[in-house]
Amino acid sequence: MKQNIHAPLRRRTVVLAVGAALASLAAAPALADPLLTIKLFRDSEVMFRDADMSRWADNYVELGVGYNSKDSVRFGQFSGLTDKGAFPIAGFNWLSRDQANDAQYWQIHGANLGLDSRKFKAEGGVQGRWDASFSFDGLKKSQTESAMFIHQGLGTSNLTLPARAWVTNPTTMNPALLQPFEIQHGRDIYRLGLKGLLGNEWDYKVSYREDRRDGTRMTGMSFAPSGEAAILPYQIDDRTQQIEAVLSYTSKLAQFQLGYNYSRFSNGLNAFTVQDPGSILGTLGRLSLAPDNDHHQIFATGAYRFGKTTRLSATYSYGIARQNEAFLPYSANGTTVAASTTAGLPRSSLDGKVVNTLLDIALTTKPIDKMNLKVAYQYRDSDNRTPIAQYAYIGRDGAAGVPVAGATIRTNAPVSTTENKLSLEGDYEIAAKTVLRAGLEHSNKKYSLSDRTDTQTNKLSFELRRPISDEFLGSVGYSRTQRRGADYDKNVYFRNTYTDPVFQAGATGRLTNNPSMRSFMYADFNEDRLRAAGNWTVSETVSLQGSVDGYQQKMRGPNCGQFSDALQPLAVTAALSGTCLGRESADGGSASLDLQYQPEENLTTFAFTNFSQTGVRETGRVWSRGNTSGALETNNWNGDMIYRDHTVGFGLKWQPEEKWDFGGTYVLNRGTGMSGITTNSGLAAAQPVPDTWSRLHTLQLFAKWDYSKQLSWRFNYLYENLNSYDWALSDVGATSNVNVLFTGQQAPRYSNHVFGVSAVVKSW
Amino acid sequence: MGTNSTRGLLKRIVGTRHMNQIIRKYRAAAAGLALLIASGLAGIASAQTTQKEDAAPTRSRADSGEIKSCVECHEGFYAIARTKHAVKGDARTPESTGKSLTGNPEDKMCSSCHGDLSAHLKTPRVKGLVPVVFGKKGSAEPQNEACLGCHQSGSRIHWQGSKHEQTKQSCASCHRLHAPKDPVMVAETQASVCFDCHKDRRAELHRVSTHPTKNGFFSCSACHAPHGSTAQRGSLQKNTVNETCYTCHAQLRGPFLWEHRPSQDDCTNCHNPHGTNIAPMLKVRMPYLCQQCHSTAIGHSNVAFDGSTLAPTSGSAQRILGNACANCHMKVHGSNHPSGARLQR
Repeated sequence: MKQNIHAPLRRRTVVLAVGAALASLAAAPALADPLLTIKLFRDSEVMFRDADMSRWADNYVELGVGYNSKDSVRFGQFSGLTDKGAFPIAGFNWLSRDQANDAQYWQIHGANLGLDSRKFKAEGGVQGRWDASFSFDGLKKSQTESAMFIHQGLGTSNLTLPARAWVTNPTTMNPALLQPFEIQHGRDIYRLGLKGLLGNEWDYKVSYREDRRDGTRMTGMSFAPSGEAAILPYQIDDRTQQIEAVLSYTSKLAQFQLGYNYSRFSNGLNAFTVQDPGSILGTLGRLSLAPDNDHHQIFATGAYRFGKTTRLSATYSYGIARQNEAFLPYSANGTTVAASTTAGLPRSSLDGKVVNTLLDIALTTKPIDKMNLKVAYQYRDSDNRTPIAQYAYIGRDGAAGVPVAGATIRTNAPVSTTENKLSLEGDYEIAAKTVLRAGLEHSNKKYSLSDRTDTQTNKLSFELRRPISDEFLGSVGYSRTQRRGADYDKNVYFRNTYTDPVFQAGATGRLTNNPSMRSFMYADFNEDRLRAAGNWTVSETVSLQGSVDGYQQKMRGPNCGQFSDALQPLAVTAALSGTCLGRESADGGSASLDLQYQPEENLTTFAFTNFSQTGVRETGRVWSRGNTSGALETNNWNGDMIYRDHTVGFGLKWQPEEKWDFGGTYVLNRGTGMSGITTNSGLAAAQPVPDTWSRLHTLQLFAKWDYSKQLSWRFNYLYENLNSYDWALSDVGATSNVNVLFTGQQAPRYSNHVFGVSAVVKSW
Repeated sequence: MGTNSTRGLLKRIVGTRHMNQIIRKYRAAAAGLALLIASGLAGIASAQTTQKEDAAPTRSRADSGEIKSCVECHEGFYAIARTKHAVKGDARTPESTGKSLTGNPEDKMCSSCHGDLSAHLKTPRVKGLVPVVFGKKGSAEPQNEACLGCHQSGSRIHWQGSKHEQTKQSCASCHRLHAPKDPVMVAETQASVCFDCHKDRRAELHRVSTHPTKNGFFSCSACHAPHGSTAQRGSLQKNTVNETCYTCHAQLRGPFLWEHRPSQDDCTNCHNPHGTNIAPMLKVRMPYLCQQCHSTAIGHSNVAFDGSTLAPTSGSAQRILGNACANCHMKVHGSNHPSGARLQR
């Protein structure tokens, strides 16, 4: 019944990757330079290496009209084009330099003006003396339009239930009252900048950035006394302000920077309150929202050159992250429901503080002509000075009152870490243009209040870069990383946070957490990575690039199959089971092939393909509260989670005559997620989990007609089609489960055509 | 016949079921690719011929020493006159500091970066007389030395020993100094330059759940410092992964009363910021993502969530459908509620 599905998949992955690469190699590609398209017709500029930059360098005004064929919140993600119908195309760029003193300039740039996602920037100054700038980015993040909700007040931070909310009071919600609500929020980013010179060797830079977000996102929420949960839209209304000031010194021999960073997050809302959809009592549930917080950081970095080839650099930074938002009360329902929760809060706010320190020292040198060396040391410390106190644990706002003692007392456990890292890297030119690189890295990390007190990680890496011929450069690299550390004590976190009978001396109760679980962020592992790449310039007009890489990470104990101190309070004498739980291994790989071909000066083409696969194998164990050792390996199960992605793209740009440009790109991404569950003899045979999948097609066609030197016409067409299946969403009705009020949200799918025509007036 | 044989061979290698799927699902893509096959192969062949023809010398004036200006031969490169390097009013630019060897003031900039070109001007057809050749034809070290002579400040302090420096990248590998606008300096086009080498990242960008890089709102350098940094990995703009993410996601910074340790440790424990097909950019879908670290007896994270749990009416459906674990434990980045120990409030 246990079955390792990784092996055949890996084989098939390799075969498919090679096949895809060969197919793409045969298909000569394409293309290149994007025409001047509006940013809405995304991808065009990202796709081409040799972008036509005249759009940013020329003075122009672009005006036109576009048409979107369908309403789709998901299609309009980031572009803001969520609605069917016509939309304006507007943009401009204007750079002006003073005739007498060309250092004096100003420039304004705007794009997608008129849409929710748009840009504007203005800058000016005297080059070489000072520059000032202001910019605005508006961005729309859209989640779904297919979600439906039964609550009233959608879009606010206080949701209530309508009358007749239930068909069967109170277990079945009334589907007739479900109403659609689009989940999206906007982010507006404002930036101000000023920089300038203070003499020949000193300069300064000051910048301010403010992000404002408003709208809604979805969240889960659980309630009491019903014990039910619901997925609901919560309101977003927050602001992040950031300031940076840097003073720099630069000379031939030495460079130095002294700076200060400040970041502050301010939330206009502190809670999200909702009437329990599973209770006719009208009890409230309340969710804490992100607390206000800030972060101050000073930093100094500098470098000095000794002789011609040796350079010493050092960086020091000291930062404090703080959070002191007033706590919400234990319950939104006052003393009515949680009547016995009267002990009160141990403090009115957290007064949380984390001090982050970094010291980085690096020496680079060239001891002999063909060799480069780098030695570096890093000290990182994250000192969490948040006060520790005991808090009452009340699962949900409407939970019945419980005595503030024993299992209901929880203690917060702020984790601190300290890391010391030493690395040595170097390369040597063993033959003409043939370079061998090697690196060695050792890291020692210490943790407080964690599963382990310390870990040591070592990494060894090699890379060989060698030209096979004048036209072909190849490289191959390998690295191995190992992490080991102190004995594993899984329950240390729970012992520190719980006041629970299970951890009392002589207790015989349950285990809170399986002592064989190994969180992968702490666990021992061996990791191997291999990469090979080649770059072949077939001719001046044809080039090929290819790469293949793979990795395998195998997690290890420690302490599985041994006695664990974590069990000591239970007086359990049996050793832990031999199989550690959690992530057992992770592996993956990818293969890419690119072909660029320019047969004529007026025709450029490209094509690429990429195949990647990542996999995680994990082990779980079904066990009961009465099991005090967690050693029943017959109850084990395995999960093989595999994610495959294949991306194919090609395009071309063609200028048949001086006044016309044509081009197009097409990209397809196919993603498939497989969840293979297998069970051991103590459990029922596992039923297969369907694959999840997505197919995203993007086709763009564009043309430009230069009517005159001053006037051009642009024609754009975009077709995007997304189809996907996700068993967590697809065909799951809003009221189909008695314990969770879902939304009816479906896996995203859309099919949109967008047309655009615009006139560009240049350099008037 | 040939096609059938090829298909049969591929079916044996890849598997019949998979081959049929590929044929069916890539029909549209295959049609486009097929159109390009012939022109591509023909192009490779013709390109070889073109290359040989181009190698023939054509400029006789160059040998006679009559050159009056660099642009006589290098016409296409004079777009640099529209860049910041060509501003006369800025005392730092090559235009201000350079000396013209031809007597033409338009050539002042050339020797500032390319070195002493007098030998090249005398015998332009003789190779190897230009001290600094930018691009792939030249060695990276002299190129970078020329640039760093003026640009060692700011983030370039960490250039020596950076990943790009170690892999022998030159400044001109990414920057286009003669273009009126450098693509790598513009958010909308920067990624196209990075993808020249980072092919995997380009593919990830075309997945369903990504940052808005394709839309020009999120450049690679919003997170990464291509000239080197002191970040723990990934050559990031900030000291750590999380510090970098908090630039835009400061609401997740905390410190929280109840922390979720993987979140405070490293955002990439769960997320792939370059894109995945599991929203929101998750590496593994829930609940399996959570079960990599959770197997408790109090609660339900030890359950084998197989196909039988997917029926909406099943007892475990509430923990695998919708937001899965986050249906109830939604505060996965930390909770500041005094009773939020289980990240439910």
